[in-house]
Amino acid sequence: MKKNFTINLFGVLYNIDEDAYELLDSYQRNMRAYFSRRDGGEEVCEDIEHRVAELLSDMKAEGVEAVNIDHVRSIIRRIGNPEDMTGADEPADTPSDGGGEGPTTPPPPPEPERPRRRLFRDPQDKMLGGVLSGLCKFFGGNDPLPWRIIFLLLCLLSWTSLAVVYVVLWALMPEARTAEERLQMCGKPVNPQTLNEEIMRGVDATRNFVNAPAMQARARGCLGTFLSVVVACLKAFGIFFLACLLLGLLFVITLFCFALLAGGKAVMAAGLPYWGWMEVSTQAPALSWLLIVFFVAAFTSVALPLYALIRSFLRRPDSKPASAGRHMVFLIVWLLAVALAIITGIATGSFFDDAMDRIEQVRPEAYQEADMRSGIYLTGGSWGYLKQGGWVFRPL
Amino acid sequence: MLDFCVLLLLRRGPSYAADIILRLKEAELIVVEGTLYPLLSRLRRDGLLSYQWQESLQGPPRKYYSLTPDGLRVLDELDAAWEELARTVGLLKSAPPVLPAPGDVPIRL
Repeated sequence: MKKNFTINLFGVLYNIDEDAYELLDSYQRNMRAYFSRRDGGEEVCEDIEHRVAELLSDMKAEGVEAVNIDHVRSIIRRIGNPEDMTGADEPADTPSDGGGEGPTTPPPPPEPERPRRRLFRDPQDKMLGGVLSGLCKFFGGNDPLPWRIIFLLLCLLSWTSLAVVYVVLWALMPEARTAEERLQMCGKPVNPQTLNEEIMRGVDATRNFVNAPAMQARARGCLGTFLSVVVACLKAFGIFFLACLLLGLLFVITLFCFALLAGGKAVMAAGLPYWGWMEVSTQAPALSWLLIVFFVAAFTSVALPLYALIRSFLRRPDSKPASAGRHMVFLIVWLLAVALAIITGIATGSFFDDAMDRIEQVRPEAYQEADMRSGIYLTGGSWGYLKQGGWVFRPL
Repeated sequence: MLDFCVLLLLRRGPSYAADIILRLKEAELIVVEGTLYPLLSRLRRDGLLSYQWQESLQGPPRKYYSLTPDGLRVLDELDAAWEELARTVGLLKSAPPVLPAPGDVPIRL
């Protein structure tokens, strides 16, 4: 029994198996990723999608009820992978008159050197984010399990500070989404054949995983059971660390809010004239500077993520993501701003409170001095009132 | 080479991509169908082709490609060049492969 989807291609509905849909989807995505870098690519993708629709409707006319994975494979074989297409097209671009008779010998491929590995997260073999799996593949490994064990041990030894590194890497490393990127992740050459293999392998892998996870475990035998226990433990540890991290994050957020309140009080005081800011700032001369730093830091630590959020909404999905370096700078600036905001916020708050206390102590004496007339103390307003009523005070 | 063939096919009247693919496959010129689409797109951007959408009875609407006046001119040029080349090659092919010993083979001119 298989799950079935209904897809809509240019107004016509087709029934398609789940795995066949996965394959077709990754084929199309791969196509878009490939052609989006070439001019006229959008059009070519659309035309090919039309062709796929055409072939599917031919199948429908032949009485195919639901498209299965073999149908999609035959379609892909017919249409070919993007690398095939431009490969045949490019030689025609060289200026040649008419064309020669007989098969033209293709020029030897100019890239025999080893393909460059690129760092990606591996979404097909992951426990949390696929970071370690990606790292393992970047360094030429195949099985990320020892990496995970070592990493978790290091995590324990470093009092979870390595978990922060993990989360940072998670945020920085892009995910290998297309077949091309997965090939680059493993350092394999990107050509039509490997691409096709990779697409098929990906679909097979997900199918196997869905259909028979227990079979795989049994195939590993006794060691397999042990390993699966270890993996389960690791997973539990992973969740525990994540929970710790979240708790830590919550703490930082609370601290930040507290700092905002404390600093905000001082900012309000500075903004409202009748509070007598001059008095406060004479009591605590460093306060003005602290306040400015706090204001800038707090603003940055709120505005930066907002800016990033807005940008990620506005960014077109197929445009190139910003480089890892820029992400890094962004993150560091933000963390600094948050830390600075917390420190200066709390400092500002306590300075301000101190200053207020001192003012409270000083103020009554100063007022008494000012409102003492002829040895009698009344508040300033009362003196004015009495004067209005024509009262005169004379010393006895 | 493939450009030339596609233009030739379209001289007989507008046709859509699947039609062109069928004929090119008959002539054993292309292996994978996708080859055609970047090529058509390029020819259209060069102004040699134009296309029109037409509804089809079964399946999605189709793009019918036809030659533009520019395309026709380029095709004529290519045609002339091809004829010339074919003539030259034909001449060279009909010439004897090695110099025969005198009297062995009658010389044709």
